[in-house]
Amino acid sequence: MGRRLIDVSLMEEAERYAEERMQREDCRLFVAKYAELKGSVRRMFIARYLNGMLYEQSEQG
Amino acid sequence: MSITRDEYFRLREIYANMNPNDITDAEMKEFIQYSEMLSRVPGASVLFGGDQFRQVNRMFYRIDEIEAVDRSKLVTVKSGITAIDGRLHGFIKGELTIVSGTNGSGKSTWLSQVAVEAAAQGFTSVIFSGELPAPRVKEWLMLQAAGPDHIVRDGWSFHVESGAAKQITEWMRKKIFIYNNENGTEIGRVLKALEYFALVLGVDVIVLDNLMSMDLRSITGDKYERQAELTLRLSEFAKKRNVHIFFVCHPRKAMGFLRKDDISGTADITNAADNVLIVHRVNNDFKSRTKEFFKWGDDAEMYRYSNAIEVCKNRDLGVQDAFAGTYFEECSKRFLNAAGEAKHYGWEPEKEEWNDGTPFD
Repeated sequence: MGRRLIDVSLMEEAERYAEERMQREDCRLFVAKYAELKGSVRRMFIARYLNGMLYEQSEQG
Repeated sequence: MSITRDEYFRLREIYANMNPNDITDAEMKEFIQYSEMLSRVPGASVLFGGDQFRQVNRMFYRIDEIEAVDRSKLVTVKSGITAIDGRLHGFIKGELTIVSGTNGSGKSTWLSQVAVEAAAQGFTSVIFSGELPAPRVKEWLMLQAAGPDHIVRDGWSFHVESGAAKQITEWMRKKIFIYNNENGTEIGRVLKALEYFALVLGVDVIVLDNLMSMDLRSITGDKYERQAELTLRLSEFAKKRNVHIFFVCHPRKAMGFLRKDDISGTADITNAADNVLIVHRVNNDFKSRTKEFFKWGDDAEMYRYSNAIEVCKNRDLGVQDAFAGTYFEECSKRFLNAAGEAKHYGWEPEKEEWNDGTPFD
């Protein structure tokens, strides 16, 4: 019941989903690079990815 | 695996709200390079912000290759002032608009309203307000989003009803960000923050208020050369990242009827912009000077309004010397198209309207 709290596992889930999505979108060349991203760069990329997902969702209505 | 839309927003907030000191220039460069690579992947372009990386890969076009602009494909942000939107067809993403006006003319207030309008159209904005503290910026955004039906008077001040305030806050938190001035106003930092807002948060509209509050000492040249250089950089940035930038520039003179040439210290600033707008208060000075400049009569239409927004330059359609009249509503801080206009921005369900004569069962 109620809203699920944002926790570390959910973040990890989102990151895994980003990776999966990149595989699906034929971004395989970049997945290896993604795994190397650390710290701020990784965080910025995840935020950007989530933003892309939100945009895509809104485009789909 | 399923994450709701609301959880996406909350996750984005967590990931995106970083300490700027944690991001080095080298990290920002690496992030941009990586994002740019991904944006080129066919099929994933939208997902990875393909429209934020414009490719320049050739020196010229042959005449026969150039096609007419398909206006239906331009992404534009409407200001909500119908006369302006009608003439300019909205503000095009990738362009720079300079907004000027004397103190108290309403330029910052109008741009705050533009951010609310943009949110209602599904765009995301960030506001840099060098002069106003964040709580004050928020207060006016809230009043503008609420409208008179949800505002209560408390002595000389106005507040949004608590129920509406909660709904508006939830609605705006996803669409409007306010730059934390504690990060500094040194231009290198501000430009880095612009990259961050455009690429990480995907903002569509940037309101930079204002030129005079920017620390330009790291740019070489005298005061006017620095201002011109900044404006050129902003123009390039707007194109490069496909955002619309509204840039507030104070005029050289504090009083009187402003013209385009009165904006800041050099014509290079307005030359670099795609649009130049001046917000006027329709006071006695405005009336006497417009009569002198434009030979308007005593019954000129603009004199019915409290404020007038003038389009001094519009590169796209060539509009100039066009005025849009608006009524300023004190309680909501809104600029209205018509007296009594009550716009709903979408944070509340639309009220059902009854026509005269509609029978009640």
